[in-house]
Amino acid sequence: MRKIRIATLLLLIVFIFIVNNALGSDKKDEKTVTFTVSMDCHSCVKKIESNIPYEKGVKDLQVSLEKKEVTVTFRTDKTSTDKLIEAFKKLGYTASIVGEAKVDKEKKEDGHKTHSH
Amino acid sequence: MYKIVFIALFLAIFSIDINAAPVEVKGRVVEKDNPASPIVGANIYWLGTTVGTSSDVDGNFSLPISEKSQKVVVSFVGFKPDTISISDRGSSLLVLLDKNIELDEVVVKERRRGQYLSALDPVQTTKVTVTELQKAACCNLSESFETNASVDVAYSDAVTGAQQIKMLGLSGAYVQTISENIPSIRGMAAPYGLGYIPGPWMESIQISKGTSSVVNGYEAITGQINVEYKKPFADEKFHFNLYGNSELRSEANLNASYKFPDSLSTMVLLHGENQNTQIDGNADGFLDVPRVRQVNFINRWYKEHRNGGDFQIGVKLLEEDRKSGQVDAFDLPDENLYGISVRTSRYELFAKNGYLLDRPGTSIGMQLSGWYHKQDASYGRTAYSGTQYNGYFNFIYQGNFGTDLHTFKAGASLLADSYNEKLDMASTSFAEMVPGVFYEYNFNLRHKLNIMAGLRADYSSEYGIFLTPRVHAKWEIIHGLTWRASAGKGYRTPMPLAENNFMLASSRKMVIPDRLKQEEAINVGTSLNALIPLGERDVSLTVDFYRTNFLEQVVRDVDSSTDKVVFSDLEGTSFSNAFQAELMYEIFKGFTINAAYRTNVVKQTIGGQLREVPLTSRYKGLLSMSYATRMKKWQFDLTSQFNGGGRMPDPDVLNPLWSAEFKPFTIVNAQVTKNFKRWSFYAGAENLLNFMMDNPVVGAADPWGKDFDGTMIWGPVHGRKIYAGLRFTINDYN
Repeated sequence: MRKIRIATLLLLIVFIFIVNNALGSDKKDEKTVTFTVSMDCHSCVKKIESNIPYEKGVKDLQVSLEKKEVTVTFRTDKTSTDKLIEAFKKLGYTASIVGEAKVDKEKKEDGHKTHSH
Repeated sequence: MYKIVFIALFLAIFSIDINAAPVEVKGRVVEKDNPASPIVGANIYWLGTTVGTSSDVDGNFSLPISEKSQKVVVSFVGFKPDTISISDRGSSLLVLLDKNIELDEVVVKERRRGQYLSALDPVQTTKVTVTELQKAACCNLSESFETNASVDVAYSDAVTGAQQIKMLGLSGAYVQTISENIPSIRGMAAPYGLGYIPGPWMESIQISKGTSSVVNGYEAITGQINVEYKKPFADEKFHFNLYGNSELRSEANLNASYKFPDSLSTMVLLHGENQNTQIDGNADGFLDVPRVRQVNFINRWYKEHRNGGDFQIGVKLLEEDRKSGQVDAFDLPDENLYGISVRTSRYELFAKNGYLLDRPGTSIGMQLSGWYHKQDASYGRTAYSGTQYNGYFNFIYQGNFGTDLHTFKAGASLLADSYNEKLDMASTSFAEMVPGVFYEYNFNLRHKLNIMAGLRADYSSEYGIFLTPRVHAKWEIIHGLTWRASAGKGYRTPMPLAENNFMLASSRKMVIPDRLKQEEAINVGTSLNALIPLGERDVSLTVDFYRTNFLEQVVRDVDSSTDKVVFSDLEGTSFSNAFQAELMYEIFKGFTINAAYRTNVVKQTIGGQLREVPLTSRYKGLLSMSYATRMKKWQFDLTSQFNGGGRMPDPDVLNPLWSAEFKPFTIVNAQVTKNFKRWSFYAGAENLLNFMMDNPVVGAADPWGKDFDGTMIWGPVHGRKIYAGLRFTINDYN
């Protein structure tokens, strides 16, 4: 019986910690920006998901291959949209904020000359 | 004689392919659902290069032949990309791209699920991926099942560290464990085999319940576990891992792969472990954990053929030194101290070759493997040594009757084993050669209805001809509700001494007859899986029932007398009924729970009476919680196993040293992982509640006396274990 009580207490502590973490995520100095990125394959998605999260200040990331969009939530005091565009460039992708279409969607072979699979 | 056959087959594997060299690849890209509709601006490029082009307004394209790659990738937004191996005919390529409909099997969803039930396989199969394997310390294969409800792992005895798995309440001997479809943990490798496959080597594990496909042989009775090792052509380039725990066990792993031009790649996997400190937590004079030193190495080479298919060859080497028994048994020159020493050498060679044939959907594959296993052991004053040679060849032809609707596999195989064992002064040898043929027909109605019916005919040099019929059916009743059923036979050649020599860690005399019958069983099962939408995600609920009935079995009798273990042919009934219900749900983003309950009735005729099989829990409950933060930077895992009680082997009537039953017990494991771009740090605890069996080594005070028995194990043999480790990985994309 005692063991079950300890187990339940542990589960409760873990649960509280999780809920606290999940709720306390709306901070005032965070900004969410959606970029149009020149990607078109599943390994591009993997590349972005394995590198961009570890750029300084990045708090959340959503990638949509179909829409060719990456939505980044970041801390404005740690990074900026310019720095993120630079981070995408380092991986071999052109990124622009939705609305400023720098990527020509028809010329896909250009996209491929800058990165390999 | 066997050696000549195997050398001939080995040469057959190395076939030379000849092909012409056209100048360019031409083709057209259209929509699969509407072939008249061309896809304009689709991307067409050579895999592994930056050389490509795009399709024109009619969907046409032309691409110069590449020296570096034989595969062309065609992609377009909103469609599933297609990778095509270019054949040598140089004729025009028609590429049909499928709209991107997500299938459980293939697509990476928001968070890659660690463990999932295969949606397509007619056999009830759960696939465990690297994500799940990294949730537990996972030193080796034995720790990979901690969050899996269908597989139990337990120590076989309190002294040697030998572990075995259980499925459907029955011994792991009835589970066929294969590595990439080649038989691996069997025969002499059975007692310690789970420790021969390190965690960082595994890419995924497929666990299937019931009898599996006839293509892999006849040995799967309760299930099949297939371990896929990491591949040299995959993303991982370099991986390094260090591990240490509170029992002062340390491990180091090193993986390195290199891709050459011309689709040739190689990988080296190196593992070392060392546990050299004497730990006796419960002060019974016996070491709680064995002292183990192991070095394990794989090198494999992989080459893609020009016209599709691939060739691979690899070598695996293992050396292990294991010492256990009383404290200081090997450190002091005291002959009265009881010591166990097991030295193992294992060398394996494997080769596979596959070809795509001209007719679409047809291919041939060949697998050849062989291993040499040597074990020298001493259990107190009893010496056991053995060597096993194993050879395996499998040839598979895959074809169809004109469409995807009716496909089939046909082939032939050869399995050969040769054992030489010595127990004290008595030597025995056993050799068996089993050639066989098989045929499996598959009816696949757009993955909604799938029926797989197979038949094997094998001829054993020891047991004669035997037939293995197996049938599997899968029916997607409505979207999200899948029903499966299976029925089949399975066989096994029993090797009691090789598979049970850990039982020498007791005063029991092993009574083994000269000849035992081949084990034979029928397994019937059914399962239902439902994906119930709840909020934004689906609840996955699976309910299954499997019945295993043994027609012939080797009974390991530990009840008749506490002085002996008697192996004999089954005379009467032996069966297992196992029912399981499992639930998986992502309650809110990043937080997943997995709850399962299994109950089993396992009975066998022992000493003329139908009784419950001893040391088997009557039920098992599992509650596992997992939380990953945004972008998976932190990962928390907590697993509780609620094991039911069961029957102990009959204690001695005059001097009972244990009670007739063992009580239910709970084991809790927890781990925290922090991920960086290339680094990863983890720390955790196994058996957090520090629950341990009271008296794991019976008669520990006098190991030379008649009461000594280290094999009456029903629960954990050592207490809480705290561990920590780090991982460093360089992938193709970081």
